[in-house]
Amino acid sequence: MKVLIVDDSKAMRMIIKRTLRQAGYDDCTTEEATNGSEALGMIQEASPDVMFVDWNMPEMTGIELVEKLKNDGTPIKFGFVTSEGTPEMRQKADDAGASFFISKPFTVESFQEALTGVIS
Amino acid sequence: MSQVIEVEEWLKITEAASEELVTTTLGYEGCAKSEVDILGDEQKYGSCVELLNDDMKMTIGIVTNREGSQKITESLLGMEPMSEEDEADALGEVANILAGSIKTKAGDRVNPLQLGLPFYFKGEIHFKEPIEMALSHETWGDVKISLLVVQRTN
Repeated sequence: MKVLIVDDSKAMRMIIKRTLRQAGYDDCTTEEATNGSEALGMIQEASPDVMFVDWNMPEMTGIELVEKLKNDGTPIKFGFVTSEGTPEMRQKADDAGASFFISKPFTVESFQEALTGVIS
Repeated sequence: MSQVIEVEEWLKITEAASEELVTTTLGYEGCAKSEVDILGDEQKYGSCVELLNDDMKMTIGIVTNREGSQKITESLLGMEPMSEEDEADALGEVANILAGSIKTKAGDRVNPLQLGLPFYFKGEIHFKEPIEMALSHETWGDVKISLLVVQRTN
């Protein structure tokens, strides 16, 4: 399973990788991008199965990234890991085709729950 | 319907968000409130995030000292910080998570809030616009923290 983590915070990228391991997904290989624009440039070569996307990022936000991918007909599963945990944001994520939505602060358990059925 | 929330109440919401952040993300047992400014004259390190909507503009932040900045980064990353950039990034992420949690806790009491990107500071922080400010002091484990809420009044 190839995972692309898109977050402008190095700390959060490290936390997501650590939480994936703690949640039992330790056979994933991970790549990282610091914003949506960088992720777009990496997708063809990295060919991720799943993307973890932050909402607020400079240059290209997470929602702009996934809307672009959706318009391009991408088969990549994606979801948000974000501080934006309100029902409105969840609805926007759903509308964009997100497979999961993880609100910060999260625990290993909330990560597992969100990813059930998304990552095998 | 949007309510007016006073700065002191925003601080209470921030304290509740802090308790959640400290136990879930940083792995400390909880926050211990202090009635006095435990940072005193120490050099300050911190990070702030703006929350705004059509009705209001507010900045929330965490302030700590040199040691606290390093310890928070270590708790968050699971390793010692390699550089000051790591600390700025980690403190920024802590402020970002805190802001998101405040937004969620405020719920529909106010019009939807937008979060800005976190900014890191060292030393004192000054605001050019008229403000109301509320501060509270607490420890996260043995890390000294001040929580800051600044509301623009114009």
